[in-house]
Amino acid sequence: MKKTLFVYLILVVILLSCNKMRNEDHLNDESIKISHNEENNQISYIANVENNILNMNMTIENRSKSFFFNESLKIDPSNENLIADIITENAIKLSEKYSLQTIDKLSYLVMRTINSELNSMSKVDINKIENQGLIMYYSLLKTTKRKITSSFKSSKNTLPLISTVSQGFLLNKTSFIFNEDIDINVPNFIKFINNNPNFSSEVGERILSDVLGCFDEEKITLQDLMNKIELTAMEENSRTKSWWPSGSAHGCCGNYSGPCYYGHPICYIHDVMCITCTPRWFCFSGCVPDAQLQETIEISELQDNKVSDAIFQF
Amino acid sequence: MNKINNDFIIFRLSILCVVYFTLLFLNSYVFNYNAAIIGVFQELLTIPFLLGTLILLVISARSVYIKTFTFKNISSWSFIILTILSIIIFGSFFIS
Repeated sequence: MKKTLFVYLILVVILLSCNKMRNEDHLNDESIKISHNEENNQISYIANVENNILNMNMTIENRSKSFFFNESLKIDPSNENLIADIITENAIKLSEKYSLQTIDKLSYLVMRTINSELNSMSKVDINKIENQGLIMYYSLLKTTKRKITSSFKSSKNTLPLISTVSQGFLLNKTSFIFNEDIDINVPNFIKFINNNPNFSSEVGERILSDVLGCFDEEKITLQDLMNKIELTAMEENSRTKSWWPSGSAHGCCGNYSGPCYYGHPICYIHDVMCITCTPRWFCFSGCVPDAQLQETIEISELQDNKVSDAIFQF
Repeated sequence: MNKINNDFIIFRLSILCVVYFTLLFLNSYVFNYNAAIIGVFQELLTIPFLLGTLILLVISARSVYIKTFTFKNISSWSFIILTILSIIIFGSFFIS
């Protein structure tokens, strides 16, 4: 009897420990826990994927009790529009709850956590959606800041809060970010294009220069630039379909946007000789090869490493 | 006297060609000015200047052939300048 009882006891112990190990394994495999101390603040982040839904929670606790941030997010990573909608929706709620100063402080703390935690990870680990969730929190706070700032600017007619997931993230080339959170320094970008004739020489350089020249502001967002490029491309398209040749058409002297002001047979011969843009001295530095004129500008190209930090400020 | 004047004219025109193509090269590889007005004049003038260089080269070669080649002869200098210029500009069409 004692022997049977002992065997049962051993079996129960084995079963219990197996179950505990399974649970631990489950947690280790699926959940990501990040705990970070910054100045007088404790930042905790936990994320796991269940049924293709990313569940996340972030807590930021100030030890002197000046603020407490606790926010849970449930996101379907396969639907980028839904990600933007959920983050925007939560940002609107947060903008009613926190002041601009608190949001600034929180986004600073999240950025410090991102820098400290993700810097030590491999590229594969950073690309894991659970870790990208940490960056989504940063976007959430940046969107909240945008919402608060836009409310200040136009107290009567509040503009709708729009967030566009960066194409770089969708193409798996960059971390999660909204186009609206990427600032472009216009004079620096124009200077960069002028100093690097090889940059985007195949596509878009002329369009980029023209579009950037239209902005009066020194600082714009990537989304502002994308909207303007789309508008310019549409205008160019409608112009090329009209009977009057454009400034970039064969036979028109020079290469500029808008209608052609002066055409000449010599310019037509020159343009035909410059279909491939070689030699460079003969075809002018702003020459765009004909075959690639129809291509659209890929945002991934803008986010290429070749572009200096002076242009894009995250 | 008239012949000497013609040689001087050819020499001056060959210098003008050198100046024009030097400015084109400098703009393409150093300054990179993309102003539309520069592009208009460039498109209009480059092909006439290319043809002009060839015509001047033929005239100066003929002059050198008639007078024999000496460094004292101004048409010899025109011929040297235009030959070097032609090699560079026409050669660049074949070297990518």
